[in-house]
Amino acid sequence: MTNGKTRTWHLVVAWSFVGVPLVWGLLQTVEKASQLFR
Amino acid sequence: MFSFLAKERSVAGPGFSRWMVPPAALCIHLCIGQAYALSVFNLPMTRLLGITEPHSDDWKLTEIGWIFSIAIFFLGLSAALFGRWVEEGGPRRAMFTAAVAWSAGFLVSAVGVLLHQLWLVYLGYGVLGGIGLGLGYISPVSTLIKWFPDRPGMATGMAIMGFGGGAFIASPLSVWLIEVFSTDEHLGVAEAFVALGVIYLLFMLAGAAIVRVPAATWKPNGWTSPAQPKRLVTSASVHVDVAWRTPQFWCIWVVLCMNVTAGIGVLGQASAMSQEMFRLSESAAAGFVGVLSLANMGGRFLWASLSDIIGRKNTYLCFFTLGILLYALVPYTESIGSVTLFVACFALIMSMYGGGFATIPAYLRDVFGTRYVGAIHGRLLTAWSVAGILGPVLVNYLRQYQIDHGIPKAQAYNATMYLMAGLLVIGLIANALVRAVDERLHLVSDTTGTNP
Repeated sequence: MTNGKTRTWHLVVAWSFVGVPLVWGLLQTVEKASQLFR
Repeated sequence: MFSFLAKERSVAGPGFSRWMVPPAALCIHLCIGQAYALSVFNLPMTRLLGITEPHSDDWKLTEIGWIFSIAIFFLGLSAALFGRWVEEGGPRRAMFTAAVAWSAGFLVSAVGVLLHQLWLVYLGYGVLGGIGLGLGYISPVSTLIKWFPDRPGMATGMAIMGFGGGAFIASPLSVWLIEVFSTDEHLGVAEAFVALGVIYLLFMLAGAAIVRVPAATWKPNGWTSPAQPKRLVTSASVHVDVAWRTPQFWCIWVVLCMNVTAGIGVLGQASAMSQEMFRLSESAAAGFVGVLSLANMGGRFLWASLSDIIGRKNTYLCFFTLGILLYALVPYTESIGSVTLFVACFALIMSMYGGGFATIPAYLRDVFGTRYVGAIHGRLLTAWSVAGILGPVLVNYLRQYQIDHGIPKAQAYNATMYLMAGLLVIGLIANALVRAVDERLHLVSDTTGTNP
């Protein structure tokens, strides 16, 4: 049985693993998209 | 040796959170989404010998364009051929195989670039990478649907959103890698391919390690199947070999094909179109492409989530009716010179293009049930392969035909827009024809899957 604390820790690690590169890529694209409005 | 890949070894234990499965799916889709950013390598690959400008023996852009086409063709082919294998062997085996194929594709391509043998790049990225794309794309779909029976649209939308997001990461990452490995006498394309191959292998293997399938009796806490299911939503399942012979399958195939054809043709021409219709600068046009990419990705999650509330058929009804109106409106935006309206129209169109991809697995689950949804989805993706050829061909040839007949460049896209609206009318009709599958075609035993 996985206890609540370990489970939360697993979730944080897993979501950060995909979330950090995704947010980095998103910010790059938002910056590129902003050229349209300059 | 590979027993850890077996489906039985990936059954979730008690206490496993289903919210661990979307990141596992994203590990795969964020990597294979690189395919949308392959064009970053196009220009450097035309200067591998000449370095600063193309040498006469350098590869031509038209030859390089085939790499992506071959990959998309093998995506559809492998998804269709191996869908049942993916379904029956579970997501871990499929994700592992996708990781190996996708990564091997980069490594073989790197050898092709080093030896300047284009056929090796076709074989590497096109064939091996394409197989990795197909297997990877469908591998988490049915698992997500099983973990989220209460919100299947949102769950698959999240994964397929990752496919759109993968290009956001790959595009700047590839540019940076090429810069890092380049010298005055050498372009670092091969090294960038190797680095990407290794990074993607590790990332995708992490997804394969995280993923779990629910136990056969598992249900979300407090959730029960609706006592009175919606008209089009079945609680039974249809075998993949039966499903693809039904009119419902082909109606949904046309729905996807028309939605993708209309979107993909425009996506490829977006930059040129905005410059020719509104004389936007190159940087503003690049910004326009960025806006479309964001809308494409956002639409995948938002529309698929909305489909859980309004139903799949109604979601596609929105796509087609709104799409027809918006495509018909585009020539008007040019005539009044409104860039804002033009951008708004295309952002909405692109959100529905992405939404179409993301909502289709849940549509299949509604009509054909959960058991073979991954395999059925795999066969349906042949519609993408067809649309990948049809869309760009229609847009490019129609534009050229208009220009050859003396139509000014700014208005050369008008006929294309009306043609796209026409394609969406076909999709609208196909969607209206989707009915529940005859009960006689349901699996006799949903646990053994004995027929056909």
